[in-house]
Amino acid sequence: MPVTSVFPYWVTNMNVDYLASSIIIFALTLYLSKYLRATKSTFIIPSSADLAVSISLLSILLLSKVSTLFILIMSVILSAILVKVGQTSHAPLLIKVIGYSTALLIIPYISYEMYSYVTSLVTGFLYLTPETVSLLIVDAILLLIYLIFDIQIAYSFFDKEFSEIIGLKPSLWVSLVLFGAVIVGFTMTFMYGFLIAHILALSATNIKNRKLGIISFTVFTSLLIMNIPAALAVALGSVLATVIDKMLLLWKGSNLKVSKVRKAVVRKALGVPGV
Amino acid sequence: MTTSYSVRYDHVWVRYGDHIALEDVTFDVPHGDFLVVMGPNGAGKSTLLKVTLALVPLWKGRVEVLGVDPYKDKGILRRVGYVPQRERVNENVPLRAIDVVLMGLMSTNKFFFKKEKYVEKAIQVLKEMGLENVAYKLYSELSGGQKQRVLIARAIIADPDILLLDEPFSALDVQSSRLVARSLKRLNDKGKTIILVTHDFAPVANYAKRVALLNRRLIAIGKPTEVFTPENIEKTYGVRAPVAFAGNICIPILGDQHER
Repeated sequence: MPVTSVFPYWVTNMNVDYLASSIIIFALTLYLSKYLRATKSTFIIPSSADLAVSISLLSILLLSKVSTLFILIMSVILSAILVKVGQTSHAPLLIKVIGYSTALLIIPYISYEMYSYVTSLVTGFLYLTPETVSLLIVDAILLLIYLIFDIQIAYSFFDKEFSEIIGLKPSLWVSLVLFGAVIVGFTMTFMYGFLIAHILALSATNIKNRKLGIISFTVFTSLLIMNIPAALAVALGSVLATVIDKMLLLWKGSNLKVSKVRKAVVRKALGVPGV
Repeated sequence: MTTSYSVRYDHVWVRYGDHIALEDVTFDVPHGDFLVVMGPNGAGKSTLLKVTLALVPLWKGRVEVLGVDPYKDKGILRRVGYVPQRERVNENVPLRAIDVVLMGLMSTNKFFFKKEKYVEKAIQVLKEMGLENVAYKLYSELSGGQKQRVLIARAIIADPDILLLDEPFSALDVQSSRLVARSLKRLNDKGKTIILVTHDFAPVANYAKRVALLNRRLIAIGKPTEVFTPENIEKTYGVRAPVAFAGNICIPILGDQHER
């Protein structure tokens, strides 16, 4: 007698662990984007995805296989660099270019197996690896810390000097957010691949309404994941969530009862001329 | 400790690398003073406020706030309210006016701060500033004058003895400048010591008790009518500028020092 799942077909077919992990990552990206947008550092998530690929390529060359410990140590060092260079995009770009160039030039001479690993880094894995599970745990802990200390983080980004005076230790909170941005970029890269990590990060950082964003992402991704590859479903889900968010903003902007100031804000957010 | 002064600067030197920002600055600010600090760009005006708050390292000298060295005991800064330049605040962080004001109470409990407990107090302070109707609006959506008054409300919600303000009239129109200046006057009348850094003396010409001219060194300090002499102005700004008198009020006609 065939074993049947206690869950209906549509649930077993939807890759629940992958979906749940994606929702955590998406929520974390949305949270971080609120502050990264405020400091004009939206580039940091995609650039950390680049760095994840660079580090992986380099670790393949140096250690023969990707070591989670090595990646985590490198992430700490690189996040420190990112915190230091802060809002300029040049340094991460430079590191990325050096990493890619070195690795890609040498990798074909090593083995086809490594070449296929690189390919999967670009196109995305369709299952949770031990590396992604470790990173997901860090992501979940970070999300929890951010939610508990939301006020401290918001105030630190709003006015660093005043926060310093009242003893809030703003550097700690700002660094923690930037570190989270690096880690979430890494997780996305190892779960979805380099290209889809970029799509998800860039979509999420543009969403204004966080609650609606998470709901629409969950709904769209759940529907899509049953029919198309999981990583692709996540990318499309994030794009559709962004579209819904923009449509809502547009609707708010067209509402005559909305104040002039808010209308101007909405137009500016949408990039509509005439502000 | 009881002292006759709110703040004492005792041979204060500050340097940033090779650049000396403050050079042997010595003076006292008595309780209840309304001191306006003026000087050209790079004169060390903001640095003077920052040494009062122990935000920049002292090279030489000593600062005392209500008789306590803030570099040794930061707790004394709970009795100091600070209004930074508006440009230093990141308006893109989506905080409402009331959230900004509540920030002034964070030093009471930094890690498990419950905003809900203090909402009534925040509304009261906003009311004093004439801002109760914008309490739940986003800070970024307020006008320049309203933003400035929100920052003052944040500084005074913890009922400090001393209020430090850095360029509070920057980019404000006449009406908004007057509203801010009147708010400061009311606070000074309640006994708060005010130290205000500005390029624009006009809004507080009626209210300032003393003026300090600074150009890295202290050039002069005292009543406006005594300090605003062509000689002192030339020593401070490097230009001769006329001084306009109207009754007991005098205002130096400096033009825009930012364009110098």
